[in-house]
Amino acid sequence: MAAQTQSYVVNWFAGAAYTQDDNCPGGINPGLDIQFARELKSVGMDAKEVEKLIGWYLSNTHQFEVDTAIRFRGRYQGKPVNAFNNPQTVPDPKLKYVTGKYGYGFNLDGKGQDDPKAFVDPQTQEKGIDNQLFRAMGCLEGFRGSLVNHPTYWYWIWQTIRDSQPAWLVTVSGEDLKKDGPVTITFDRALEYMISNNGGEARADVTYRVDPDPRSHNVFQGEIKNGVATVTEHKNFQMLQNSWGVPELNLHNFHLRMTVNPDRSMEAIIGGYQPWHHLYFAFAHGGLSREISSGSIPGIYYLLKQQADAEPNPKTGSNSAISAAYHIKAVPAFIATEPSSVAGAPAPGRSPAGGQR
Amino acid sequence: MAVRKILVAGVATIAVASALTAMSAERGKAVTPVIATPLGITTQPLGVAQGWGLGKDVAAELPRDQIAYTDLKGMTLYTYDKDPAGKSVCVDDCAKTWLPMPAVAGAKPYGEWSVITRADGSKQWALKGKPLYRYFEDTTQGSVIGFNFEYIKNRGPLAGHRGAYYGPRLKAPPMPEGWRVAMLYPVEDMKLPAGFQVHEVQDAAGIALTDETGRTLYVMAADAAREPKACNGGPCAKQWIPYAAPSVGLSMGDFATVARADGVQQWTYKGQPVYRFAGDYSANLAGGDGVDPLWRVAYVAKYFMPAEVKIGKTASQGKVLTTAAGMTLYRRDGWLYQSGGGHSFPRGQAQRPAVGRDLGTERHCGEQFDSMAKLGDCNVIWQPLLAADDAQPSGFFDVYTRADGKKQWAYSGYALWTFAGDKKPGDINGHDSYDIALSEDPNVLVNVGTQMDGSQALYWSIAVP
Repeated sequence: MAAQTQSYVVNWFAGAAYTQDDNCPGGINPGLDIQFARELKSVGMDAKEVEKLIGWYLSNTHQFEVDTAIRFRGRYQGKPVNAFNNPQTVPDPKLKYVTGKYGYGFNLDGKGQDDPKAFVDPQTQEKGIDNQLFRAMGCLEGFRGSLVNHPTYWYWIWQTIRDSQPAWLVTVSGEDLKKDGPVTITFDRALEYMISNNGGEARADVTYRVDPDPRSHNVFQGEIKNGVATVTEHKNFQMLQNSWGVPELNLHNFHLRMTVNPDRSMEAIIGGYQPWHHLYFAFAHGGLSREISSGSIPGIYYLLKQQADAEPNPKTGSNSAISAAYHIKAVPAFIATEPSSVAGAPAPGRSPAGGQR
Repeated sequence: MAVRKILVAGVATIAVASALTAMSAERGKAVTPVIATPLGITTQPLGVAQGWGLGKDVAAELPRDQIAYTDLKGMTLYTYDKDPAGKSVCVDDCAKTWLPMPAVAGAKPYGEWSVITRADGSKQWALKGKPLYRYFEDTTQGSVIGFNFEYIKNRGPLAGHRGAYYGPRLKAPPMPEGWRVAMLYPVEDMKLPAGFQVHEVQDAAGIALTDETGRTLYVMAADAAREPKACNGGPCAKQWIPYAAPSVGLSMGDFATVARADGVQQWTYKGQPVYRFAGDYSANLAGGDGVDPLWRVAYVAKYFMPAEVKIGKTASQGKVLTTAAGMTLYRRDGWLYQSGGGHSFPRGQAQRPAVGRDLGTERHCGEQFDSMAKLGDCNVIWQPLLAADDAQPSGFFDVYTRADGKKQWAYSGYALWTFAGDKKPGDINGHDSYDIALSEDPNVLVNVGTQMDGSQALYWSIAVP
């Protein structure tokens, strides 16, 4: 058994964005009204009709006509179909993607600086960084941000998710966590929801129970070197998540680097290859509602499909996974070994700890 | 909602005992009546509780405050005030609007279910002597005299995004004079002392006494009128809270009071002391059920359950339907967009019988996430809960016929399944697992079997009572 163990509860989870003013060619993608107009014209709608519809859209009138035209802007054998269910039936609107030099993440494919599509990590200055998810989404307004100011999309998503799903737990174990050496890094899901402080952030030093469900249990061997913990075995990562986002976070060829701040909080970048169909589901499952917060859903479908860079489908040859990196912030927590030792109070409206969740 | 007003006005006061069979005649134990419907008749929640909506803002529990008797297709049944006991006066044109509910060959009367012979010689079911009818324009489950606001709003031609409805203002037509929906619930003919209510308690799969806040009440076996020794200041006493009566208690029907040793005047029901369970933190829960054999839910009536199905308990999601061996049962469901999340809530996402019926006995397997894919093919790891060839629908349970001709149990519209990843009772390792469908071929459309208005996905959820 390791001499030292430190656990954390995840307070923040967001796409690792590194937005710069000039990282999108000619500026970011236009507003939804322009995207809608382009796509409606591309499926054969008369220009005057499009102009009328967009006028209604902007003035928030004729909602049924606008709602119907936008939702059913896909075409199949000449007939309208739901564009969110079947984005492949809308012509590619060719949204812009990031062309800048920098992006957070990991050298997942091992090509290093020989990879022409790769970024340079602004934290580590490592070259050959694979983060095509950031490349794909980074020119949409809602996905622009930094590790300090997360993208708007992620504020919306994570702040909803963390209050409506069992907490995520991270545990680091080793002989002496203050020194370089091997460690074991474990990701679990709790039975309890994250306990908040009066600022709405995770309260430190609360005790959680681990959900025995194997779908959210991950153990990685790693090491601490120069104060940074990394994983040294790059297995696949899986973690259940409220389906408001991706219902299950799957990262293949999992990478991690983690640091502990002076205030005892923990930050990490995690990454790997993620099946892009999962991401499409998350971005598109709310249909029109999600489109308003994210951008053209068919446009996102094509961005993900085109920027996917791994795991080619043996039948079609097209890549089924996209390199991705996420930012985690966490605070110290305790993990109960027995249900009766839980100290944390249940979140409002939940059942008492030790009984039903 | 307009529909509700009509129904409240038209509710037939029902005696739950009308549809009951005695469950237990064991000495010292109260008999808990079971609501079992006769051949050809089931029960269905009305209106919103049918769950036609596919894009709600929050994962609120669908209110099941109106449950009607229905035919096997879920179409609402009615009674007519002018029918004398045991006879139908609705004939000729009337019978074209109000379709007599036929009693199939072999239908056997029992309890207050009877079979009458119509003037033309055909057989018709009757409840408490009142012949039962369907309405000719009822075509969707939950519809009342041809009107189904939730269906029109969510699946009609003028339905918009996330429950937006763009048609003219809807107003439910008035119930024709003398006609009533044949209601199982609400129960309106019980005389109750102040402080008592009767509610459906889904966790307990039945109708039970509750306190004034709707929390479930329990009774202790009559032959143990004094708490066991463990309750003298022990954890038991903290779990079971005597339901106190006014200091001057009034006996009423089955209700009376008893003076406890600690001076508290406690209610009794049918001679058994009444308690609340400290772990029930909201209405509709029955966390105390099964905790201790001395206490049981203060049932007014229990719903029918086939021998293959029981109610079990999970560590994190409360009560769940299980196999007879205690293994968790699941339902196949359509993804639902909910601002509040909801899929992790106790009892999971609210049931939508309409979606369950859309999906039927098909798994509609799509792209699995890693945790499921590593366990095996979706068609293998999910197995149907089979029913006997001669199994009959009753109450909320339906019997679906599979493509291979075998029968499968369904509950509230959802076919029931077991999961190969569960190893012991209480496991819910398949709960909240998704698979998605996305086509990259513009000539191939995806359709997961039920209506979606975003990217398409189905998920497996625990089947809650």
